[in-house]
Amino acid sequence: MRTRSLVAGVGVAAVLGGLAALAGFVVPGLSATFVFVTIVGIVAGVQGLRYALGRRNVDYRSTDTGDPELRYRVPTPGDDVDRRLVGAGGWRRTGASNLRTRIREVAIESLVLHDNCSPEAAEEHVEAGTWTDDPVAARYLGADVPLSWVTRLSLVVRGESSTPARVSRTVAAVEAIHDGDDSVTERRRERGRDSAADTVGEGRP
Amino acid sequence: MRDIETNRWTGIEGAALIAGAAGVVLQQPSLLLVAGVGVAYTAYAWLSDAPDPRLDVERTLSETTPDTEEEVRVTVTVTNAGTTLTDLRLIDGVPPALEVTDGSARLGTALRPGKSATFSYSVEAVRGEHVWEPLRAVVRSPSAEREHSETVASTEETTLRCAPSLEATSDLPLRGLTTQYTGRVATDVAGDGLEFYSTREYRRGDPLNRIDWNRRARTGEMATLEFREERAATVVLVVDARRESYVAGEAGGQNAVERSVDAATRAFSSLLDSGDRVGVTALSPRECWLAPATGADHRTRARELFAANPALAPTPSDEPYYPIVALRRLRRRLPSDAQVLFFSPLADDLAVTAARRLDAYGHLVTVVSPDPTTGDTTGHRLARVERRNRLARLRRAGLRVVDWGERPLATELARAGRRWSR
Repeated sequence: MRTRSLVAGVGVAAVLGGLAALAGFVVPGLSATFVFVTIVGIVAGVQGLRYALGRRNVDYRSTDTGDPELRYRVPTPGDDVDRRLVGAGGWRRTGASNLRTRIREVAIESLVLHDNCSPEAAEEHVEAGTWTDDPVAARYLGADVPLSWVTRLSLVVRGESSTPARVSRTVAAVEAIHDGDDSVTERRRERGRDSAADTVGEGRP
Repeated sequence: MRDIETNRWTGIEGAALIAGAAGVVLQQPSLLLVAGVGVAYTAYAWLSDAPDPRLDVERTLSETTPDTEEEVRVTVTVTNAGTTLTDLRLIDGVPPALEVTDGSARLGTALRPGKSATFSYSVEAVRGEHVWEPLRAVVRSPSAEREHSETVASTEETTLRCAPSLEATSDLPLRGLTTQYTGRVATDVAGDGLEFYSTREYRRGDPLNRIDWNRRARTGEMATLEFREERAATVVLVVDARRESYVAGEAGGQNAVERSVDAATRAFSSLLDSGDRVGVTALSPRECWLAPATGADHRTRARELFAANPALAPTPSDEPYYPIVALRRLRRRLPSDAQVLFFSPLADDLAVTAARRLDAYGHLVTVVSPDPTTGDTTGHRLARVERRNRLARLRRAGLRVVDWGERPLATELARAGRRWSR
């Protein structure tokens, strides 16, 4: 504050001195020699350049008036999930694990309500990945289902290895529990039994 | 009231100084003249100030109590009671629940002292009481370097009040909890009625027309016919108007609470017409309670409540809500023989808890659930699955649930009625 008033005082004195010289008074130490005027000009130029360059970091400002003519916007259920998927790019750890828990619970509840599983059996299905035909969805909810390198590579190439894409596939798998006419887990179990029988059959000489 | 610098002239002093410096160093008088122009502009930007506007605002509506979906023309006249305003922008405070359908609620103009400017626009009326917010006036200095913004209330408060018409819907399938009064809900009680229920041994004094004469002719025994008694029910319509229930499938469309209240008004009418006692309440931080009753006065009171009660407003309240306390209070208020029609989008688990708890206390609950979910993004699809699970959970618990999608409510009710009577 003190330096500012000091600089302002010097400035006012310089302006008054200049005006006095203009009016014909003799001001000590001030003579309009070429060198002096040039130095003053250069100082003014540098200062001017500083001001002009300061403009680069400045944006126009105006009052934000909002949109009173539109209706009050209410959210759609699920907007929070979309925001999280888009905003964090799917990489923030805590958000991702919360979402995973939420989808896991929805999957278990869907199996209980629509597939006539007991809660324990539903949890086992999710744990083992036998609740869906989609290995990506099964793996997303924590099951240790094998996924071949070729499939993984093709997922990466097609850009479907990101968290949002995996979440989307998992949600689609949960929707399939609701939409399917027959039980998903039963069907898979039967198929598993058949394929096991086939393997045994092939293994015989 | 707020003053800001628009930064439109930032750097003009730099331009003046550079021109001056170049003129001095290169000894060019014409450049010094350019610097003089720059100094003049700098002074213009710095010294002119945004005036403090003194405005009189008058707002008139073509209709203050319209029907729903009716177009209402709003005319705003602004008079300048202060100094000259060279740059005046006006933005009218349209209530949040209304949408401008024609014209613009904004005006940009210059106003000399004593002069007026008028602009008008149309809004579509929706149910509720809508109060206009103050008009916002933004004034700029002539150079537009400074901007001043403030709100100006109109001389009289502008209110649009739109009451629902209380149209009845098709008959609501009610559950078996009834009062002692005659009505239309078929009960499992033998007595007077239309539908045959049972026969019993003749007792002295039974009316002649109730005696089973066929049986008398066949066996010689006297027996009396009994019919299923039809009684009136006490129904309380509970609208879930918590903040979480203000959701909609499409931006700007009717939200779930508006649809719930719409369904509740129809249900109210049709129940009252069939002689049931109907009450209205809401799960909301704001107070809303209309005790069950019948009659024309009650209908008028309900219409008033649906139109103006803040708990049923089309926009949510910011007040805190304590669901457990509110539920306990609701339970104390409910008459013991009251059924509950619960209108909720079931957007969270608390709605399910509320419905199940009321049902557990013996108030047979029927849930009418407007569907706010869509299937366009992953998150929306997940929310849809979650809501379907909630519906399934309620149905498992023995509650009746009407999932109200895009089709008219009457259609959904008819379908649900068929399912329940099976």
